[in-house]
Amino acid sequence: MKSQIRLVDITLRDGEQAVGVVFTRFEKVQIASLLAGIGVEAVEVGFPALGPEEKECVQAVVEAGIKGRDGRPLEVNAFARARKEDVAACAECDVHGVVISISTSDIHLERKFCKTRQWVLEQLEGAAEEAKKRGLPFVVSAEDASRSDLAFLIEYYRLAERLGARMVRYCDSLGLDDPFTAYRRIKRIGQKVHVPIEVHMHNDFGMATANVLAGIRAGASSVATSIGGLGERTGNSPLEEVVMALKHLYGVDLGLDTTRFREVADYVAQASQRAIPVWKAIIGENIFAHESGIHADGVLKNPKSYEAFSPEEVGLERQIVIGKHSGSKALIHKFRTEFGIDLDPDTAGRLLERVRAMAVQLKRPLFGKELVQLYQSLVGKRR
Amino acid sequence: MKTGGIIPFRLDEELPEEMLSARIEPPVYIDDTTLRDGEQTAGVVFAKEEKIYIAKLLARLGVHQIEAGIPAMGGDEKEAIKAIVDLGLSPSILAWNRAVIDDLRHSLDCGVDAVAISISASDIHIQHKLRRDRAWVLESIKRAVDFAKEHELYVSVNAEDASRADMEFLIQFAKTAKEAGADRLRFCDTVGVLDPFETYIRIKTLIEEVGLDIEMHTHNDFGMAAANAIAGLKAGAKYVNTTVGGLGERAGNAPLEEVIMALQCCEGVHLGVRTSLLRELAEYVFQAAGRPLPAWKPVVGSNLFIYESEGRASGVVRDPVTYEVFPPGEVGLSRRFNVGKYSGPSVVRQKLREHGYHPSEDEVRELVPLLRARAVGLKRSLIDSEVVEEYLSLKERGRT
Repeated sequence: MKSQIRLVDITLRDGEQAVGVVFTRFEKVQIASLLAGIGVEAVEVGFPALGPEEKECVQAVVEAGIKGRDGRPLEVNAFARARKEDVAACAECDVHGVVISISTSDIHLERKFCKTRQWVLEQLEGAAEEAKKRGLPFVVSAEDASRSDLAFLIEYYRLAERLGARMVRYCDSLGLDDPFTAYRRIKRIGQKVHVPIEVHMHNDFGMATANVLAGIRAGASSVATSIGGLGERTGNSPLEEVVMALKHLYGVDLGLDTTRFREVADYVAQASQRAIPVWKAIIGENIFAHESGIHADGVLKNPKSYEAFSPEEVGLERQIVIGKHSGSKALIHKFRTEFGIDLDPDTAGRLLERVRAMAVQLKRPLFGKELVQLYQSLVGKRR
Repeated sequence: MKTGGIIPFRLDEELPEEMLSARIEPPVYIDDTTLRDGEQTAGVVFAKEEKIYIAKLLARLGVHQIEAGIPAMGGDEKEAIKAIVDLGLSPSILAWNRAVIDDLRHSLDCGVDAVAISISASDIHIQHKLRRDRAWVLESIKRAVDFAKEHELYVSVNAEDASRADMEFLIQFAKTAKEAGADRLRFCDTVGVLDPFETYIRIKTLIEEVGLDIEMHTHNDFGMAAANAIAGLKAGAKYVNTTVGGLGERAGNAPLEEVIMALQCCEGVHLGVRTSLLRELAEYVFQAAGRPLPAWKPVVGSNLFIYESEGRASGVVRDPVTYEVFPPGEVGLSRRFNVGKYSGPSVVRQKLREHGYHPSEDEVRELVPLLRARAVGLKRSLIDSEVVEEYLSLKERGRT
């Protein structure tokens, strides 16, 4: 199915807000280029109101004139609080669009800002006027939307619509929604608000990706993601998970070059100094590593037994690991394909016992050389 | 418009209100499989004493059942399971088996009180992996459950790859298990290909058609293990199979800590477990597994209560509830402030106060851009002494 869903990557803004992460100007440009290279059409690259360094970073991305795969310019957005001066700072960077954000939850209004709901609406109005004056298309974002009173949230979004917002953003800032709640709330918003809805979900309880998909099923047509889920606290919905889930579970293809996911994630991992866990869904090194007898045997007979998609699709490789949980079939396969040795079932059985004992003792799987040595000591042949 | 993926749905769909407003009815039981599915992860091996220690921690936390391993592997594995049984912990101890009598004999040797009997339910597994047919699968379930029940074991029949199984056959599979005397059915989303709504529909159907207790076993291949586990519980499943930190095959399983805290914070279901042990448990398991515990790991990551950006810090210094769903101590973590690129006056003021300084508003205003520039230059957050040093030299300059 051809997709009508827009994806905006926020690695360079919310991703950079993760504790301890700072991207250099060069890295921001590189990451934006990599994203454009895999087919991402829109990015959010920073928060110009922070100060001169950040402004230069954002400007550098704009000036790089990055083009997408189809030759069209990459849409570069910047983030602003609902303040005129923040919007002005974005405009000075010559970005293509701005995201205007303010909290809409009573908890935030009462305990963080000590302000009223009316104040929120006025702030939005002021910031939106500034954006219009400067000819900047704007998305209106509601921080802490998941804890906001739904009626007020809808009122806020409807004001945004009247003010000319191109889109409204629903932020589950604390990752508190479950998919059922997210669906219900976004469905209700969609019935009352007539501009596209964008979802921005955090992963505090491990449900970011599921909540994004719930938002899409409820009618949201834009998603904010980051590479590897980089972001505040537990992070955002990861781009690679959202894209692959849409493609494989829903049959909705966003048309991204998934084979370069790992490459892009590696660059972001380096720049953010955060290693990609080997078990990271979609892009982790171990996603296609099979050790246990049952899994390895199943995969050798038919990879579909334990793989939802093939490793090449995301730039990874399948590995059969020999360790404590291995079975004789994987061992026979390993020896035949990698060492050119045919093990008869009896030898394989005896070798497996030694392999398991050694793996338990070493507390890890065995390397090829160790396997061959064990085999040689078992059959008594030495060169 | 209809889509063409694994999960059938229409983009203009309307999900039933009954599903959207479903609430989880306690009790919910946790069956933790860190010691079985967790250890099965490629590259992970626990030492016997580590297995024992993890079992003790899980018991202290208060899980209902511990899946301790696979007795049929023999050797060290069998001894570790026996040793765990011998501890006499309060949780039930369950061992994993294929639907094979010999496997079950090994479990009996270990003295466990419960067994999981696992067999594939999907045609893709039955044809390609097992190279058998559906009738053989049903026959194997019957034989294995009969044997286990003769020995008075609690029996969970695991429907491996249930998420890709034909629903009609899965119902037949579950009915066979029930008739043979099984106590529950474990629904395994072995390759992690469901979303929460599809999970809900399938679990609801199984419960209505079969009436057997259901356990959720979900994988994280598309990042939805925790959400799918919660969805299953909403549909009426009573048991949930978790691992510490989500350790498990490929992208892992539903993480114990995410399920516990999501139940508490998102669903209002309190399990009465000692959540303050969660961080310690995760640290131990990751150490034993030889894996670093990511600082951003939900619930137990060391970064979760560190405040750096002004937006969040300014809220938290006024009232933590602005950005915290639960207090850090609840999971064994603590709150901290860090000065970095996104920091503003709230963090800087807070940090200096922690070190006994009381900067004026003007000083803070002057310090913020200096500290931000320093963080940008160094490409990292600042350590406390760097912040203090910057403040003191600002004061010094003020004097001269």
